[in-house]
Amino acid sequence: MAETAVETAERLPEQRAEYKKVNVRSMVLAVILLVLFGLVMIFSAGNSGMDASFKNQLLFAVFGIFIMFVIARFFSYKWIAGKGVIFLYAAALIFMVVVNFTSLGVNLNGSTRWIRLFGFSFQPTELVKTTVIILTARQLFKKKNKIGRQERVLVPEKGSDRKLFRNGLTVHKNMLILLALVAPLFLLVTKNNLSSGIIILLIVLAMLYVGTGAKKIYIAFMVLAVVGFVVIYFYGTEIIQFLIKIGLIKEYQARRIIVWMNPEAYSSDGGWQVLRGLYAIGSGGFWGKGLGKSVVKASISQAHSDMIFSIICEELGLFGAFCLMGLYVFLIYRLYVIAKNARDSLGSMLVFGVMIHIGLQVVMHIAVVSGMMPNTGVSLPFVSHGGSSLLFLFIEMGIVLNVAKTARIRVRR
Amino acid sequence: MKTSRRADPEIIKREKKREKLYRARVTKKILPVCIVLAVLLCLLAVRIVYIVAASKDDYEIKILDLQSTEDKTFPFRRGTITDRNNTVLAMSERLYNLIIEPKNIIGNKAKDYSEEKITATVGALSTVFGLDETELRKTIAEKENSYYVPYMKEIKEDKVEEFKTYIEELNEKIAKERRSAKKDVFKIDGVYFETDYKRVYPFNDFACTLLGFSGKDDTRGNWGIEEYYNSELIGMDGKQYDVVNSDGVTEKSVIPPDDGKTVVSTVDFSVQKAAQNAIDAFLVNHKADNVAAIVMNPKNAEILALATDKKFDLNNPSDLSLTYSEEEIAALTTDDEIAAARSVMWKNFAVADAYEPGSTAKPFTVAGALELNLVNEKSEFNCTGSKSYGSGSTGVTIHCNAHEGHGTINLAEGLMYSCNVAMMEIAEKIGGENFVDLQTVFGFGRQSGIDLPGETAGLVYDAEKIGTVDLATNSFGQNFNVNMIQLASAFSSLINGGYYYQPHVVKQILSSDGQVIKNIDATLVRKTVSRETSEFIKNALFETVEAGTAKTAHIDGYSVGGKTGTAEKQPRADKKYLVSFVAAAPIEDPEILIYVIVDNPTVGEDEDVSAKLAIAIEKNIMEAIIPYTNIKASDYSIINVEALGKIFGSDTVYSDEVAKSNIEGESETSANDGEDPGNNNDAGADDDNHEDDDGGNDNNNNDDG
Repeated sequence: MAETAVETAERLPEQRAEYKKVNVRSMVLAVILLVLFGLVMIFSAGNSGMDASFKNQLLFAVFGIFIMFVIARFFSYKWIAGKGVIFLYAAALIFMVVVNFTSLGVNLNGSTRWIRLFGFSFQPTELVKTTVIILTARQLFKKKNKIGRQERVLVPEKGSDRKLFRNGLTVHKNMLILLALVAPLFLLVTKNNLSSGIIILLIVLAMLYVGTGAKKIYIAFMVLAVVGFVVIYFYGTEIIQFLIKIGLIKEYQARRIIVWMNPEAYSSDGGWQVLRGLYAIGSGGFWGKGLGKSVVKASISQAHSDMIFSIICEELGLFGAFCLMGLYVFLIYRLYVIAKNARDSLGSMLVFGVMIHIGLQVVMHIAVVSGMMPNTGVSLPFVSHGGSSLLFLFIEMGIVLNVAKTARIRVRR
Repeated sequence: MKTSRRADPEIIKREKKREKLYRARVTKKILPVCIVLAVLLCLLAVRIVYIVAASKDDYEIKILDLQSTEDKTFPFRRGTITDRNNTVLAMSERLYNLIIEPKNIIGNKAKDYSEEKITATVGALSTVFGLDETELRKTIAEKENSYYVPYMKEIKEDKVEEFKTYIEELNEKIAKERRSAKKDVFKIDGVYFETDYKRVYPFNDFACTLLGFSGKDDTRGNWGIEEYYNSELIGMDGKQYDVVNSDGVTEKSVIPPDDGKTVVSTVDFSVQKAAQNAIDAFLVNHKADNVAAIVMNPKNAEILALATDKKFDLNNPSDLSLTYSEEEIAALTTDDEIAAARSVMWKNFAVADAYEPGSTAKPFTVAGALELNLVNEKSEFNCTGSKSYGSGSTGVTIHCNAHEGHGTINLAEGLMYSCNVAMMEIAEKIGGENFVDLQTVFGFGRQSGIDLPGETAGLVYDAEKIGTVDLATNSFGQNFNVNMIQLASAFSSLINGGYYYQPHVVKQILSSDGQVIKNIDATLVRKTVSRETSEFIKNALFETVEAGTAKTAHIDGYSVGGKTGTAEKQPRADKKYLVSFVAAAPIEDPEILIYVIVDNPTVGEDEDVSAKLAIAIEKNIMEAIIPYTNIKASDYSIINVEALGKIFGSDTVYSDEVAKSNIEGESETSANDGEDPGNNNDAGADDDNHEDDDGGNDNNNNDDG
């Protein structure tokens, strides 16, 4: 194969450098620890011990770990980003249409986000997240054949990339294709479930930031986001009152933001769940009340999915919460190492996509339960109850492991 | 890669360079993103620490506050208990609690109609439920910020409907009036009803000891089926809570309650009624410490009726008046005494107490000897009226019920006339160790496993410790303890061809909507005797009724077989008896087994304490239930003609079994050699301290050693 040729070619100029494989064992261990953590919490959050939720999660965890190793072993990430993503994309599109526009969508807890498949409830938005990560990495990497000349998308040709956003006309064709492919999925997801839509948008933006040369626009975007957040946080009520006054938004639309900003005042009215999450965190102390001793879990609906972090805080205290956050930090660090040392930029972008997916969900989940963000329903990766989420996270981890197989860390003597 | 291999090396080189440059930048940009994530996580960690540090105590109190006001639970409905024909014996009736929400009743104080609204609401409540208006107003004013004030309990459904219609009409009226007056329209709200359940036993004291009763909150059963099957009868409370969906809109999410399952018992209402009536009839002219009757289907050990003389209203189980007389109740002064009296009343004698069975155990001795081929139908015994063990001062003489002796009798006659000497001779052949083994086969000495709480294991001798005299007395049912279920189940196996089935009182578990979840069928525990032995015993029992000690049990046109028992109670000197009768019909293929015991009866002057008392109850039950059961008219005839001739010749001698003084001389025995057959005081004394049954066992065996 060409691989050996490439390897020797790469080594030749640097005789004194040595390469070693990336150790993935600790990362896999961290993931399994997270899943076990989640299982224990779901077991304790359940009303009656080994309930259906627990068994379901256990089943998906075992199946997911199996799938992860199968993908790592047998499915090259190049194939997945090449031909595989076509199937994933088609499936994602079909499922999103089915769940949004047909009666096959199953309504659970008041929203239609599931499809019943082979006796399991399947949440297609999770498939979409994985698909979008692969698709974006592929489009950023895609080769373009032009009369014997090969060129990677947005590869810097001495400053050419800087033109990217300065002049809209130079936006590359591959980016237009990406936009055309992702937009319908994004719209379908957002219609179905706002929080997943936000996550997908942020994943794509982060990947574009890393994969393209447009720096200033991102810095501007981030400054705007931070300023906006601060302004809304401190002057939200006034702004909303003003907006209602001039008739731009209706009262019910504003309510969720108001509730988020001031949950205690609207406790009977939506702030309730958020507030209970806060109470749970607050009452846990440093060591927590002990497994299964949560008072709050019985009274909130998403105790083992969207609110699980607050239950962790209540039962295991700050100690448990920090252990969990530590595990995530470690996982993100290992993903960073793999992304940095992947053999090509496709692998790098894929791993980065997975990293940002996990990182974003962790941050958003904790932000929601600690009252820093409006309640949108974001699950905690590997820990929250939810078979589809778990399965696709494991599929993503499988791709990461496959990338890690060919990644080499350069060790200087 | 294939293309690159074919492409010219220059392009590959440029390609590589480009990729490298790109990689360098990509990796350079990944790091800042990681840092952003890390910073965000740190900020969140700080936020969490802040929440914990700033508000621990504050929030803990708030959690407790919230629970009582914001949660709504919908109680589950405790499962129904029915008899085998779906007659409801216990059910939970839906009732309502009136909840007022002062905050909603007051509404917006700024509006001009707030006061009017309160007046209308209070008026409606007092009209329909007859509540005091000033009281209501006071409560509303005091708890003006509350959304949850339970105000009235146990309201029936029709009353709630009445209130709802009343409010609807009132609302329309108000709307009309106010519209015509061009004022803001208001509606009466702030009153709602919470579902609650109340356990109802439609037949009050019917099958009370068998059913048991449920606690106030419906999550616990006390005694009987209510206790044993509590886990099936309870369900799970439903809940209502607020859910914020992805659009940020709060919705009420309701998890409906999971109702308890229906338990179908094996009890037959008519049979149970007959058994209770028979006991009641007996108690009109008699008194006894305990009277109990079991009706069982010997073919599958299903219990069709289990009645005792202890009665209480399941709807008001603490009331003692159905079991105790007024004087007895008045004599109870301390709480402990009252509690003790209640527990005696609630306890199921047939399951929880063990006693010496007396002669109803004789068929087991005979069947055991037949199984071991130690005797056969033609075996003969010579009864001289007593049998002596040992000699001189250590000697024990045990008398037969007929002091003058039965003469030479065969095996069947031994049962017919309830001959103690014959039994003792048989037991001698069997030997102590084998005898104890046989008791184990018949299930004595260990729990039958009936699906009722608090079963006693009874008490039998250990194989190593059974002495000669113990064996002799055991052979005719003295000196070992059984409970009624054990004896009835074992007896069923004697007459059904030798199949010991697991006795049970529940035959089916249904889901709350009537789907079958579990069928509890006949479960064969073990084979006890052969079909031939079973046939022999059945014939002997039939002869006992036709011509032996149980002649009064005969019912014209039906074939009844049975065995009487008159056990001498501990201490023997008191001359107290426990009389019993076990009967089966039709004896050629028994469908029904009835077992009756009367513990320490007090009789009138013209009557003897004898098994006839028990027979009378049994016959009363049998005659009453024939129409409801499979007992068919029968012309079954006596086979042992030889025995028949004898009976006709000496009717008077054998007309009744009298076991009085059948163990004379025992007091000397205990004094002399310490091997006291009657020393299991506690164990045998089912009338004074049942809880010490097991403890008594130890005493007994130690003395024997």
